[in-house]
Amino acid sequence: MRVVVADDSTLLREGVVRLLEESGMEVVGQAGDGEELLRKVRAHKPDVAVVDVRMPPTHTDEGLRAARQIRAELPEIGVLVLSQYIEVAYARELLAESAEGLGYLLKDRVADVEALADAVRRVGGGGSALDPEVVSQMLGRSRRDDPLDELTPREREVLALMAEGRTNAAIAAELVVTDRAVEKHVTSIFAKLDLTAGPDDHRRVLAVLRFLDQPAP
Amino acid sequence: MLALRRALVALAVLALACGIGALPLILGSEHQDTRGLVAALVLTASWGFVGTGLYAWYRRPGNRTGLLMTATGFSWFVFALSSSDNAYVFTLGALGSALPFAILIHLLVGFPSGRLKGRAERLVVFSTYLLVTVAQFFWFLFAEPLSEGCDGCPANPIRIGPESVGTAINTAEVLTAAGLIAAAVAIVAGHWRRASADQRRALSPVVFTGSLAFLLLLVQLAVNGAGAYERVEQIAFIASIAVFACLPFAFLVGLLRSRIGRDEEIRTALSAENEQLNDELRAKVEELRASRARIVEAGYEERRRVERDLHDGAQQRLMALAMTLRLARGKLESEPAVSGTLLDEAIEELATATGELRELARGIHPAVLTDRGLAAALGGLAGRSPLPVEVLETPAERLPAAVESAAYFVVAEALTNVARYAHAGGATVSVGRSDGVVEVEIRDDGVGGANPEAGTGLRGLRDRVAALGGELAVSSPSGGGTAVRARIPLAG
Repeated sequence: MRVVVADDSTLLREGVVRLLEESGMEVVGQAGDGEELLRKVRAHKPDVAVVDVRMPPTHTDEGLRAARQIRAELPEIGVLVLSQYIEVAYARELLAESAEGLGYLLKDRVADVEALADAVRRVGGGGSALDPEVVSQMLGRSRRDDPLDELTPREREVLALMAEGRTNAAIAAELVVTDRAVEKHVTSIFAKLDLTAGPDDHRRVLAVLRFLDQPAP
Repeated sequence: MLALRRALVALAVLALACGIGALPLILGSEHQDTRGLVAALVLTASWGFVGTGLYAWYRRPGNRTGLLMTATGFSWFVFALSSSDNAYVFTLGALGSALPFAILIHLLVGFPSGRLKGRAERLVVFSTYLLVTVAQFFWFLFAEPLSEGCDGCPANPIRIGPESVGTAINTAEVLTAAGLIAAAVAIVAGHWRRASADQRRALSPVVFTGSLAFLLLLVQLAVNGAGAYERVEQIAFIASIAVFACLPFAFLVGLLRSRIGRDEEIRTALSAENEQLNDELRAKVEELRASRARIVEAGYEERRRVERDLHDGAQQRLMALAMTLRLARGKLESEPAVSGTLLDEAIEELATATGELRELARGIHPAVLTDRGLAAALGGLAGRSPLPVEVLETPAERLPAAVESAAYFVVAEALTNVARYAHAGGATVSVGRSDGVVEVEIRDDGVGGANPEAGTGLRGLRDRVAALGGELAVSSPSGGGTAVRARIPLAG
């Protein structure tokens, strides 16, 4: 898997590069700001771009804008956005079109080599990787006549993992249950929330997130 | 203004009562030859002066002319006492009979402001008052002033000395009076000379009527001084009273024409308003000073808190981490299993430290607020809150950074308080704008009873909001939930 890494902090960028290379990935380019990132991505056409939100020159949301640019321009390239803070507002912007090939993680997660490599692989494979923090904030929102109240605690766990972009197999492994059990939960959740996307559909992440993020009635 | 109006009405009622009281006194007089005429003149002069005086006073409260006119009116009642057949009352009235003329001189010299300017004016007026009171009294000790040519007049009960002394005093008095009147005329003439066309318009009715009255007075004094021509004296006396009766209206017309009077009235009103504004300003400055001191103090307090958080949190954790790593390093070869456990602990510790640092940094300033504005930042706050928080309304457009920041921290602090103290099931947040004001409201369904003065958090917020010219209110009835409302003007 070929990766471009963009972060203005050399220390962190080289840390990420080392971790990715140890996980058997090939880092084909590094960038210190949004412009450079776009140049490297256009030149190398990597499978995934790992992007820090805050970069020069404004140190606000350079990375986010570059990420959206990449997704618009080169939709086949996966984008994993790393952020010092998790903000639902940022996630919403990134998810505006689709959740395919998109990741949005708290920067802290890079310390967990497995989690980082897993997220890069998922995003590179056209899947999603949303930080549990984003999902819990969406789940925690107050709704009137909340249909989520009808879910069992186990179903809520499954829903959260689905929203993060995990596959049924990954969910089964996480919750230490069988794939079959996970499938049953997923079907039940979709029925209770009245979601139309099929339980195995590749786009189910977006359906779930759209549901969680819909404005209060 | 209301108090003034009440006082003026009381004076009017008093003048009316005095006039009605004076009527039987004059009409029932045995020594007064021309009772009807005197009664008519006294009532016309007194009521005329009091009525116009009170009106002038009401219209120009800052001008003394109204007060002096009213006093002139009342002095006529003193004069009316000379109609009494009782020796003491008669003498009192006779003693005060020159008082209206003295006040009149005061009025003329001070017109139109009613205030005396300069030593000459004060000297003339003061001397006139002295003449008609003290000198008059001394004269009365040695004379029967009104009894000459008046058969029915009572005898002077306070007389103690020979007639010759009285005559001498009277001569001196008359000469002084003539001098004072001449001086007053000179002063008024001076006013006239220096007056602009506008000012002359105000002065002319008074100067004309006043000159006439003076002229008649001079004639009267001259005749009286010569001790003959009683008939002339009487005619002059009656004519001067008739002119006197016209005088108040001349004063009133002059005063209302006068810009000086109006200017002073405006000045008085302005100075009262200034006084009030000054007081308000002083209070505001005091409030600002206190609030600025609290803001500075809050700044230091905030730094202390950040220092404490860093020291107790991240710094301690990193030190512990260094120790754990050293231990793991030491046991790497001898006890690799223990070493592995220690490394896991270190990783855990590190994750906690970075999490704490992140929250600390977000507490100092939330990046999303600058990047995306209130709606995004409040959505995040609501999502991270341990209890369900619904954001009902946020402005669609960006607001000035200081306003957004203040609104954000009001919501953040209020939600922290809700989570800590309110025992609430949920809370709502709304930020609306109308008429250049941003209204921030945080409501919960908790126990209420919050004391807005108790915590430093709310006080700090109040200062923060006040620094932008806004205000913060907390309503927290016991058992009725808590509502925190902030109003922040957009144009500080």
